[in-house]
Amino acid sequence: MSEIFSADNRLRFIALAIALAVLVSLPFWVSGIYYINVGSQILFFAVFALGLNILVGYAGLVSLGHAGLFGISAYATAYMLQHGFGHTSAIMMALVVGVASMALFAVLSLRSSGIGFIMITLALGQILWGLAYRWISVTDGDNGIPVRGRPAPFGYSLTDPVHFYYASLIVFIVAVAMVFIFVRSPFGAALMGTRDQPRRMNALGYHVWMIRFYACLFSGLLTAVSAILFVYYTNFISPQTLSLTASAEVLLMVISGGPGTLLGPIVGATLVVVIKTVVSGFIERWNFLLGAIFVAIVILMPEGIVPGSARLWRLVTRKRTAAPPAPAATTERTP
Amino acid sequence: MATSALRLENVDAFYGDSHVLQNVSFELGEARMLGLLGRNGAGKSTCMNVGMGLLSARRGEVSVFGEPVTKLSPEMIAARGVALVPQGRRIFRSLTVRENLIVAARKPDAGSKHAPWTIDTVFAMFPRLKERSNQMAAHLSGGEQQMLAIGRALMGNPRVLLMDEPSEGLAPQIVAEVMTTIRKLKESGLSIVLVEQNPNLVFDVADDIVILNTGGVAVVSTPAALRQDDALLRQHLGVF
Repeated sequence: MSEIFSADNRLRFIALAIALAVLVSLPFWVSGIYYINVGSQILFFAVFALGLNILVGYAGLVSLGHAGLFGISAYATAYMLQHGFGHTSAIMMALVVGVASMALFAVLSLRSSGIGFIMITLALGQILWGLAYRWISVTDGDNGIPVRGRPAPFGYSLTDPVHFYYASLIVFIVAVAMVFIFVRSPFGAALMGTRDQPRRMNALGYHVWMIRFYACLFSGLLTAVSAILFVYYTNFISPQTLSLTASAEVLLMVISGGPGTLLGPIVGATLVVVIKTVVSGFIERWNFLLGAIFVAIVILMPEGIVPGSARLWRLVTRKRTAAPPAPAATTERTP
Repeated sequence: MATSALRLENVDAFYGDSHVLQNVSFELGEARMLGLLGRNGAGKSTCMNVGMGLLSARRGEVSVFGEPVTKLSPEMIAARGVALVPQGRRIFRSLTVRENLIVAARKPDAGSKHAPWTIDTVFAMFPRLKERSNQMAAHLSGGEQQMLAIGRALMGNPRVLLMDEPSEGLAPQIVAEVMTTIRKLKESGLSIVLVEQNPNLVFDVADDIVILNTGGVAVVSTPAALRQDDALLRQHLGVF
């Protein structure tokens, strides 16, 4: 019990409460629909980045094809709605298709790890992008598929941007809680074990391939969830969503924020979305700025913003205090 | 005849084209400790890897409690009650001490005669690990990492424990602590293969000794007999 109420944990609870209060009250202190929409985008891209982080950060498997999986779920939603199905059926189908596609991805790409895994996921992502362009009878090619209307769960219409923001926030909080539980569970520890020492995990009696496969399924589920929010947000899906640039973008969210941390992908998603949507309104060469920021992160905080900031914070607090901190305080995992 | 906990019979193993183990045969009796000695490159760690299934024997047979495991994967061999404390510890550096132990937890076999190992019993054996349970394993000292590696192996509730040079790189005082732990494990009835370069450490605790030389079994004996035979030890280990 004393561990729960330790100074470190108290600080974390306070930070969490403040973050929640800021997120819940955002529509009240942000002026204009535009910025509320930016908030929604940050939330569902954060869910996408959390999904990719399961593979990149916790399993040590870098995927360059996640935009393809994101696109499949988005297309599934749009296709179902276009053919007259209801929102519930469309969402359920998108989840099933997303997870099933991830399972297929995993079966093909988990034959290797490291650079082999990157290349296979890249190739699979490109195949899906090509299909989205060329399978015109299903995807309508470059024209894409428009989506009309948003669902209204419990009579609460998500057409209103504020309502949509709150729906995204609820999904985001559930996703963060799921990832938190997943990472702290014995399975999460086993997954990190396969990242660090797969042979050792074998010797401990684990089927490394199967652990990675289940991690892929969880990643696919989060990717599908974010894709559903995305397609309802944009009311449109086109092959551009499945492009390599989109895969690289979400990977940058994870890497810049800090792979293998819970907060990292959220911070990374915030950074990328804010620069793409807000800063781009003021700076014409926003791509240049984004690139410069990433270069700075790689040079100054190669481990990502969240672990890098934690490291800087420890340095500052260590200098301030006369006595050296207890070893446990200096070595606990970054949130 | 006593039951054999682990048996290697005419085993040949290769790393690529290198013929590392040549016709190796030895046997670990149940609830006994076998000391596996030899110079660098003699094939001691390779024997451990073959026993654990991390390296496949190209010829010969490996069996655990009479059941052939030669063609089984490491996870299947682990499921039959074999655990390895690897050379160089190889703990999960990015996990906490507690997570390192949790990840290795496995229920004991239904018919197991031993009291099950849990996180509490491991902490009771290594109180220093309990003090550091929430600390990242990467920040432990060498001795603590070795304790963690042993604790991690015990969490799998093994019947056969393979220990590959547990004293490597440790200060003499820590080596003494580790050896005390190994002695306790032996007394608990665990069947243990202890790989070491330092024969004096092994002679104090082992029941049987196998000396490997250039990939083959050179000597099968007991500590008492070997203590009397300096010439033999000098010939195969280059010591004494």
